[in-house]
Amino acid sequence: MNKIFQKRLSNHLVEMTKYLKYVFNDFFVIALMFFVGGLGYAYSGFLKQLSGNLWWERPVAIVVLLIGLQLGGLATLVKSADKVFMAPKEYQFHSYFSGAFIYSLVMGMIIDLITWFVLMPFLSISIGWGISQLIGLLLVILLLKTGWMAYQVVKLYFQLNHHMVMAFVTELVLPLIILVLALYFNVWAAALLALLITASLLYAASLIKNELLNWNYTIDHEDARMNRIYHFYSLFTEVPELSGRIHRRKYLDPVFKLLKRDQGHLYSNLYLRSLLRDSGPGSLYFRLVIIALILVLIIPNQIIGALMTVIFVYLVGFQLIPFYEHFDSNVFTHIYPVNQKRQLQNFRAIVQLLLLFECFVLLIAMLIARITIPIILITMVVWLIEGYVLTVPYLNKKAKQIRN
Amino acid sequence: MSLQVEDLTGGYSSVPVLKNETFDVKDGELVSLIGLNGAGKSTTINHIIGLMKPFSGAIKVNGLQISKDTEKYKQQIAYIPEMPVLYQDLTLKEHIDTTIMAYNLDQKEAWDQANELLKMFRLDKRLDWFPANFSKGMRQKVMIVCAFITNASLYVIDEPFLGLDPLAVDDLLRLIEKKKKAGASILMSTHVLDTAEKYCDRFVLISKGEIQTEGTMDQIREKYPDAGKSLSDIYLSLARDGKNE
Repeated sequence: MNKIFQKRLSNHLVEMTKYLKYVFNDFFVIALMFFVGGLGYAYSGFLKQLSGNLWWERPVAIVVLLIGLQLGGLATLVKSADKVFMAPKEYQFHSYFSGAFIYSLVMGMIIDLITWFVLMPFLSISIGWGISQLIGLLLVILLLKTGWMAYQVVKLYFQLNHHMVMAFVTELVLPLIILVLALYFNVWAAALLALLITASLLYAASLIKNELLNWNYTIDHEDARMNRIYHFYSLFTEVPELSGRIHRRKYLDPVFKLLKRDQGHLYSNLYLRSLLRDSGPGSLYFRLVIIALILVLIIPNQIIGALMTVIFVYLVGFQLIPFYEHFDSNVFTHIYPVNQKRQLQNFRAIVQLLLLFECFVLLIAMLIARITIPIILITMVVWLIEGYVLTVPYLNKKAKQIRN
Repeated sequence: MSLQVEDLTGGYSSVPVLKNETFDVKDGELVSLIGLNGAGKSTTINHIIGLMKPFSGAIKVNGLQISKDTEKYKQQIAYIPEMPVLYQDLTLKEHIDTTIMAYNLDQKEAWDQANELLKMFRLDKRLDWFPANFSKGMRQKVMIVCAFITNASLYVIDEPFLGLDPLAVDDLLRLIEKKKKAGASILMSTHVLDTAEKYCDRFVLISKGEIQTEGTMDQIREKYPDAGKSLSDIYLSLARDGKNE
């Protein structure tokens, strides 16, 4: 079973590297460097002002450490099919989870180490701690993380969800007590207590292996965790695992009501709903519009700003056009007594509508950025030409390709 | 005469799967298409609903052919697929709206009917849900509701009973009965032979893309006097013989 986990882990790491490549693109790395640099500068300025022994310094340290403790959950890498295929091996799953536990613990400890490292100067200035006390504190938080992670394994075996109180106590209240003890009284006494609690949680995790695994919780938990990761990546690139997730977005109903509801507008209704509810191309549209908006507002050079809008109108149109075939796999779109020409007309109208909205947003942005009226007028003419070329000749050509 | 299939030969690539099929479904008649997996039932249906073009032969619905009057032809057909096909991003209510738009139905009339059917299938409280997340049986019910609010004169139903609860099976059979009385024709493919024997007027048995036999229960019994009494017995013995050839 441990081998299965190791194999999944290496696949998982390959997948994550693939996405991290997109996250740490040149543009973002530069932005990040400025951001971290700025933050570090602000922090050092803040530290210089500290006089020490103020009432709020210890509580702040405790809250920061508690938050750090909650970060980095248990990565089980369980898949939903395991419920069926691995069920006969359920009793051996404990060795699978021990792999997951170790991997997750290492990741979690790295987070704690960074938190501790950042807090070090703060603690030494505010409460005048020396190196030995700081090392004692590091020991405390690493022990707490170990116990916290062991408890995450235990939770996979709970059959009922009424353990909210227990989870609250184990994950939050006990660590809080120990951190208060460490910061207000004696860090070594706190370490001893943390050792006791962690040892008993580890013991509990080893005892529980004969219990029945709560598959639904385990799978949901892992799905939710992967989703959070994918959502983060989706800010930077397309994440296929995320597309196909549908959101009801009830607040958009008034927008949908604006469309005519008859045979001639069947596909307008279908396309607009899919685009605005699907987390795939629809969210890409909004992402691009927002990026364009920000660029126009921050780029100081008027001509480059105007050029940016032209590029983004092209990008949005270009990204939307493949959506034409979105319904082709649905057999009913071939069975409805609706002419295929209507589908193309409807799709064209929707793309034009979305481009119009984008141009409207960009126009307002350009006015706010105080771009001169002649440049705006020229840009608008270019938008018009772009919009026409994309939605008429280019779309016709694409549609023909798709139909053949 | 609602559906006429004349000398139909067709298939996916250049190799024909269906060979010279000829059969019909008259007004107010329920005909079932019976055959083993891969015999050509779904391919036949795909030709009738216009997803595939025949190599040769003709398919007519009330005398109309798809190649000549595409929209009018399609307007006459309602289809329930074997696996429910739904729009991922539409709610149940919007599925019904889509059907109303697509078939140009009267809003009020269609919704009255839809509400009645939704209530029958206990879906009336779920109008604002995404049916793509429903169970198989419930998704199938959505397909039934959408098909039966149309005024089609030919209903093509592929394997309707799988996944439906017994109550829903009974309700569906009643719906079919009602449509039959109103003069519609129904072509249904199924493996549930007991139900088929009880409710269908005629049977078309397909084997390897050809029509093996066709007729009412009595006609089929007459043709194979030694094969047994029930449709199930006759069909099994025919299918076994076919395998031994």
